[in-house]
Order: sequence, then structure tokens, then C-alpha cells
Amino acid sequence: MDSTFGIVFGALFISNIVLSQFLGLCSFLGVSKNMRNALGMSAAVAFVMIMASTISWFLYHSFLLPFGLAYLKTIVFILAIASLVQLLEMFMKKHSPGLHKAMGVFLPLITTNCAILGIALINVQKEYSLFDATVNSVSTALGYTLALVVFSCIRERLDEADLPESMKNLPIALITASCMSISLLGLSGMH
Amino acid sequence: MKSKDFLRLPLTLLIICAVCTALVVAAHDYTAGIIASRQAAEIDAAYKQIFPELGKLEKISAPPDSPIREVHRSARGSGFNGYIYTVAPKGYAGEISLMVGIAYPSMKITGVRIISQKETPGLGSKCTEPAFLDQFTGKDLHRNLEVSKKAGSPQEIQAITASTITSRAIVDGINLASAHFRSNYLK
Amino acid sequence: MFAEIKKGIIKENPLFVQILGVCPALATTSSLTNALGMGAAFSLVLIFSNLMISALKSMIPEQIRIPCYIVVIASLVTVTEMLMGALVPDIYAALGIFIPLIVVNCIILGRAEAFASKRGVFASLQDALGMGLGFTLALASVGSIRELLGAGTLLGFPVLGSSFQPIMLMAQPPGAFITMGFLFAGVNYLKQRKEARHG
Repeated sequence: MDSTFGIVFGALFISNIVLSQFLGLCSFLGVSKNMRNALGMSAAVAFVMIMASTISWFLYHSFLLPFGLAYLKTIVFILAIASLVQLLEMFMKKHSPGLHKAMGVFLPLITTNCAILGIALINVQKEYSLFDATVNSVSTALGYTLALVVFSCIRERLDEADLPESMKNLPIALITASCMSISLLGLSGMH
Repeated sequence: MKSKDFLRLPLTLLIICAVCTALVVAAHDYTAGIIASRQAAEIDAAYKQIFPELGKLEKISAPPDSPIREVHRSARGSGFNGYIYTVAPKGYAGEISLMVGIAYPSMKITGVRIISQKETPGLGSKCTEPAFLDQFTGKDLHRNLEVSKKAGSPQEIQAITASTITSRAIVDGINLASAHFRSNYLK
Repeated sequence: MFAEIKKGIIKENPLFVQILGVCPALATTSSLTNALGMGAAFSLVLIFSNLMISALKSMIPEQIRIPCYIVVIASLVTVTEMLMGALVPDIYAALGIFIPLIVVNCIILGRAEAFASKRGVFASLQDALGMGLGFTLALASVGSIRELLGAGTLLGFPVLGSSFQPIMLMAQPPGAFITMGFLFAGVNYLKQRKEARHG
């Protein structure tokens, strides 16, 4: 079994959710044009990811596993995530309009963010305990934030760069992501 | 919301959920048997490959908190003719899960097989190839094995080029199994 | 007649033109075999989801259509996952978590919402065939480039000869990003040249 430090270090760097596991790329490429949006999106993803993976863990271990229905996990998890996002949005709208203003636009996009469902599935696949699962989802959320914030800073500068017309925006963003991914590759083997 | 909708909406959703779940359950019943029998056949084939003179296998207890995951003993005739260890040492990128067959009482390796690994493609991933694994067959486990750049003495295993960590992890895993074997089953 | 099929392959290609489904396109294309496996699994789910949703569209009330679509898609994905586990275990193991993650692939929910919920069964089938084929071809192009450069093989058969030194990085995550980057640049270049010519 992985040690707690191993889980944290792995989720932050070695198997970074975006740069080496390729989850949550739509939002990674979509909202990384400036840092403000990147921070808002990261906060929303972190919030939902931690809640969703805890709920999924309980659903899996207290209902699906005891009744031998583990194979229904994808359906149950996605429904739980979709309802959670819906509830969160209604709750925020009513009780904290400020937060809703900051995160609201990103919330509907989160249901189809594969990082959220991905972490819920990885947690049960790796048979993590509730503690390990929580550590994993918190550090994955931090890893996502790290990648997104660094990436958005680089992209803000890239806007000024003199590039061939066809390389602008998405292509150069992907090539930048490739370089970031190479630098993380150097860390594997350290654990 | 009209009062008619109040009943109609949840009911429709319920019906759709029920139909879909029925579909999934049917598919599960159909595939579960196939998957289980295939997995059993695969494990069986793996045991046969690393231990050609396989007798009746019996699972014995593995040490807790160790990379040694499973120990099986092969019974043939009135005694035992070998042991199969499943070990999962840490490689360059995560655990390398492997099986090693050890003949008894000669203490020679009968075969090694990698079950799963996540090593660097093109470098460490070469550990699954016969060129590397076949070196182990026939090695005497009264002493530990060693990793070297170029195989020389009988206890030496030639490392995969540019993948020393992977090679050492596998050899360490096998040494762990043989040490456990020597201290527990060798009289 | 076949217009609905053709549009998904080039003009409205889900990956290169609509830029949807980037995650599987990067994650499952380390080899052509994996790319084709992912394309097949994706197409299977899309075809059946389009068929079921277009057939059921009059029964599904407007207010709860999204949850209904999600349930239908999630069930189809689970069925596909089990069938692949039973019939093509090697590809199933290689694709791993990306098979259940087809559930959150924006293309499938997008086609349900934009096409199947409005059109007939036959048109939806054509739409799904086109989009499925378009996505599979796009994955296959990424997969062949990465496998050729990363291992010198195609579908596991050596193609480039023994003197070729494989660029191992191409089979790893950075190779996925860089291949996609240059492919998108190529698509942009073609688009801009076409616009310049017509403009």
C-alpha cells in the first residue's frame, strides 16, 4: 500500500492529474487564458472534487460493495456528482451570492469534468481507506490547481509572443503543456 | 410546476433508471462468468509457465507488511516439489508485480513472469521480455542474486540497458522471496 | 443521404474541429491499437445512446432530460465496459479508467442534446456513425504518429526498420501533448489557408 507521503507527492507531481493522467483537460485548456479564471475554476474543482470523492466513497463502501453491486459504480457516481453540483449551485445562489459569483459560471461545467469522476473511480479502484481517499483527493485538487495556475501564467505571456498564425492559442498551449509534462517526468522514480 | 408533473417527472426518471439498470444487470450476468473463467485460466497458464512441473497448488500464508503478496506450494506425490512467490517490489514508476517459481529442494528458479508494471515505455518496460527474464531460469537461490552491467558469475543478472532501477527492483523482489524461502521452508 | 455521416468525419470532426474529447485523445493514443480500441468503445456508446434517446425523445419530459440522458449514457458505458472486459481483455486493461470515463465525454452528451433529442432515429444513427468514425479516425491519426515515432511500429508490427532509434518520449505523456499541439496547428493552417483563398 502507498504511504501517505507517497500519495501526496504522487498526486501533486509524479502522476499529476492533468499533466500525466490527462484528466480535466477541457477545463485546463479552456479557462487557462488568464489567472483569475484559472483560480476560480481551481477553487470550484477542488471543492466539488473533495466532496464528490467523499460521498462516492461512502456510497461505494456502504451500499454498492455490501450488496455486491460494485459494477454499478460508474452510474451511481455520475448521478451523485450531477446532483451534488446541482445542489451546490442552488445552495450558493441562495446563501452566498458572492461565492456564487466567483465560482458559479464554472459549476455547470464541472459535472462533465472527467477529473472529478476520475478521482472517485481511482479511489475505489486503488482500494483506499477513507483517510487515504481524502488525502488523495485533497492533494489531487492541489495538483490540479498547481498545474492550472502555472499554466495560465505562462499562457498570459504567450499572448504577447510573436508566433506563426496557425500556432496561436491551442497548439502552442499544448506544446507548453508538453514541456511542463517533461519536467514532471524527471521526478518519477522519486518516492 | 403543474401538479400533474409532480408525479410524472419522478415516475419517468424511475422507469428509465429501472430499464437501464435491468440492461446493466443482464450484461453483468452474461459477462461475469466469462471474465471469471478467463482470469482463472490466465492465472493457471501463468503458474504452468513459470513452474512446468506443477503439482497440486495450495496457498500458504504470506508475511504481512512485505512486498511478498502470495505464496503457493506445489504438492506432487507424497511431498512438495516447489513454491511460487508473488512479489510486488517498487520499481521506477510504481509497483512491479511478478511471480517466481522455485524448485524444491534444489532451490533453482524455474521461471519468472511479470504480471503488471508501469515502467518507462521502451526502457524499463523491457523487463517483460524473455531476453531479461530468461536469465533467471536455473539460478541457484542458496545465495542472493546480484545485478551487474555484464553478466559474469553465476549469481549475476545483467541489467536492462539504462534501466538499472527496474532491474534492481526485480532482483531485490526475488531476493526477498528467496530469503523468506530459506528461512521458512528450507531445512 | 449520407450527408449526416460525412459531416462528422471532416467538417464537424469532434476532436479537430469541435475540440471535444481531448482527454481520451491524449490518454489512450500511446499506440494505434489502443486508439482504435478507444474509438470503437466510444462509437458503440454513441450509436446506442443516439438511438435510444431519439427513440425515447417523446417520452422524456423537457425538465428532466439531462438526468435521463446521463442515466442512459452511464448504463451504456457500463455495459460496454463489461463486454470489453470479457471479450477484449488486453485492450480493456490498456484503456483502464478511460472506458468508464466515456460517461463524461462531452461529445456523447452533446450529440444527445444537440441532435438525437430533436431528430428521428435514422438520422440520429447516421449522426452517431459519422461522429464515431470521425473521432476514431482522429484518435487513430494521433495514435499512429505516436506509435511510429515512439516505437517504430504500427499495430505492433515493425515498420521503420531496425536502424530507427525510437523516440521513447512520444509514448509518454509529453509526446501526447506535443503531437496534439502540432496536429491542431496543422488543422489551423489548413483552415486559415482556405479562408484566405475564399476571403
